[in-house]
Amino acid sequence: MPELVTKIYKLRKKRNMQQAELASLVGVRRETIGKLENGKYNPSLKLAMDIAKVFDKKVEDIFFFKD
Amino acid sequence: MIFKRKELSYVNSVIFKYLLNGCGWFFFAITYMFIEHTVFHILAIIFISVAVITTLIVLITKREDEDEMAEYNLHKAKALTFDLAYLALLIVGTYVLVFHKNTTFDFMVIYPIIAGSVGALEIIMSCIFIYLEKAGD
Repeated sequence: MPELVTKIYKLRKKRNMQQAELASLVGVRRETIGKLENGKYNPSLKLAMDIAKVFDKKVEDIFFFKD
Repeated sequence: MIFKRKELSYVNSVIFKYLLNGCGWFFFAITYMFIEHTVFHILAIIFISVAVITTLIVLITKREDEDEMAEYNLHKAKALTFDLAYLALLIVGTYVLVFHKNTTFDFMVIYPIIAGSVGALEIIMSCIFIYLEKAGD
């Protein structure tokens, strides 16, 4: 099964943004952002879209499958 | 001077609501079996008070909002605990049907077992939740 990976960490670092800051912008806990960055949680479509909106990107630019 | 009310993290609220509450019920059930002795009677009161106090703390304290991962982990933990409870019930049911077909049970004997089981299920559920929160999916 292909693994879902994210670019959240890179994008967050590029914008000098803390996990807590991103978490509050998308309405989740800081722990959820941590698990997303480590690939240990698959977000809902709404959360993925909210995160994409924060970084002004498309969902598929941030979340993609790695074979 | 402005006092900022401390917020209870979601994991801590689960620890209060299920883990400590479950421990209260579980140990209350054990001490209830020996309720005739004064010491165990006092201990039973203390343990049931723990369950009441932890429930009150969760109700009156400002808590961190539940988010989708917490909701997902809690549902997963509850589903797993339900499966375990179902299996335990089947095993106990089969045992009673095979070995105690004509036996009647005293409610005073059954009550602590039920209370203890509820406590044990809450403890198991909260442990699974805490594990899922730490380890991830």
